[in-house]
Amino acid sequence: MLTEILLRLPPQPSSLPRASAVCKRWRDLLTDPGFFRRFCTHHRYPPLLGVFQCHDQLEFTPVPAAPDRIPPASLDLPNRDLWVRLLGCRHGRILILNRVHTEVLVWDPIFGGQHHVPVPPEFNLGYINAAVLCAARDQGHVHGNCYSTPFKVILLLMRRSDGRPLASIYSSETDTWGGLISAEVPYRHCYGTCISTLVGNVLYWSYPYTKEGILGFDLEQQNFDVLEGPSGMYRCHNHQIIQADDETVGLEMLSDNDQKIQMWERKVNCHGVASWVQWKTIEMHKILGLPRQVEGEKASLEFIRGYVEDTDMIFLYVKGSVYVVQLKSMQSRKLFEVSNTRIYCHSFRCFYAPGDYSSLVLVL
Amino acid sequence: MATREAGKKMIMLKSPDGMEFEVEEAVAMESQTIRKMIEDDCADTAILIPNINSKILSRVIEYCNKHVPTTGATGAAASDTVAPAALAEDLKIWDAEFIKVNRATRFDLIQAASYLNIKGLLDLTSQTTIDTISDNSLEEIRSFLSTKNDYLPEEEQTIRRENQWAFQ
Repeated sequence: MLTEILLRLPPQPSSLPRASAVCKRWRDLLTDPGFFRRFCTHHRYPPLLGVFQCHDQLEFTPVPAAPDRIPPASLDLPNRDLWVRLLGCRHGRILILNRVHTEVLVWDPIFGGQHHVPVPPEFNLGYINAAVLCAARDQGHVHGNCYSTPFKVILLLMRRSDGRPLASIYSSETDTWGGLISAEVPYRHCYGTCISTLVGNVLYWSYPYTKEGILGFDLEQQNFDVLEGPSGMYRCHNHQIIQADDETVGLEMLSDNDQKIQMWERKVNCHGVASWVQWKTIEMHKILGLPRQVEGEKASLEFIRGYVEDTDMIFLYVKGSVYVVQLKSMQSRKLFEVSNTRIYCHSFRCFYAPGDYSSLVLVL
Repeated sequence: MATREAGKKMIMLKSPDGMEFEVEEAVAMESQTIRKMIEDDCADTAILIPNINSKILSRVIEYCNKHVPTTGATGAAASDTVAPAALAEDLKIWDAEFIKVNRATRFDLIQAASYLNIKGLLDLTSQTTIDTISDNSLEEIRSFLSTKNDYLPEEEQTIRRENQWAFQ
């Protein structure tokens, strides 16, 4: 009976540590990996613990209020002199590139698992983007409880010789990189950092200055596709791939001129013909908590600076600060001040367990 | 097995204190435990429900009666004629009233829901218990659930230190 009750403790990170201080019996139950698995399955969606961003150095900013604010000092951050570029964050793992582009680090900041993966030589030269994701195949697995599951790393590079995207997939199960996968068509104007969004089995990238559409990489088929974007995407340079309501790919665009967020969804009809449908427009001044535009004042620049996958939450840069915005409730909250408008917020979602899980963390 | 009006199959449930409850098979099958017995053909006569007294069993049946998917005269599910949102809202209000019971009864209901494997009732009873205690101090939680603090003071301190932020 106790298990049934405690399974329903809130998913917030303070829940299990607090309850484990009630008595020894509770502690034994709450630190049992079997209980934790059931706890995650019951709640399904892990809470947003915070954001990672990498400007001068890798930083963690907790998002929830106390007592659910995990202080950055309690996370075991990797050596900042060696690991310089945050490439991605998904399913409780962070992906970081080393200074000389020869190795990536897959790091679990909660349970402490670390895995060094050498970068294939084809990716040593040129600007790479990348993604990490959990590769658990067992039915009923809930992401956010991925500390002992296998994972994949996907590297993406624009090959200079023919302007075509090149990818390779690393599997922790075999500890090897797969073959090089090249797109059939060129994809140009993709400069700098672009963070992927996972929708279903496809990773999408929408480079801010591209004129060729959205780049998709199907993880099952292991091939590329370039999707034509919605009208206006090529002018605004300020967009973010999202998952639309029925698990289709969507896109948010922020136009500086009219202070509106346009939300688009890509629909495919029964004949397989795709079209973009604008399903919502949000006027930014109606979002509670964002600083108001003062009349007569020079218009401030706003940027979409991140997205929390599988939710309606985005990060917005407004007037020198980053805000987390919930688009359904139209609420927002200031997270931190930063001068760099190009900072990207990698959302970090995970369930939190008390006790020592180090012996169960995947070590390869 | 008994049959009653409109050809509905009836089933007899028996509590350990000797009370018998005749319920529609569909209502009884809200319990996955009873459903399995029926499907395995182990329910020809009255089913004895061990460890659940008649008072609690009658409440469980009341819950199942309310939550069984109902069908109208035409055979169409009630949800075809009443908006699902309205139905869900009606059930939510009913559940809120149903769970206004004392602590001991609620714990008995959790045990019964667990044994009979009635997910909705287990969710309702367990979640209500958690909601009652989740904003309370550790002392209040211990007192509410009659749990004794068996940590030595230094042991409790160690656990608190492990995730100090969670206790702020």
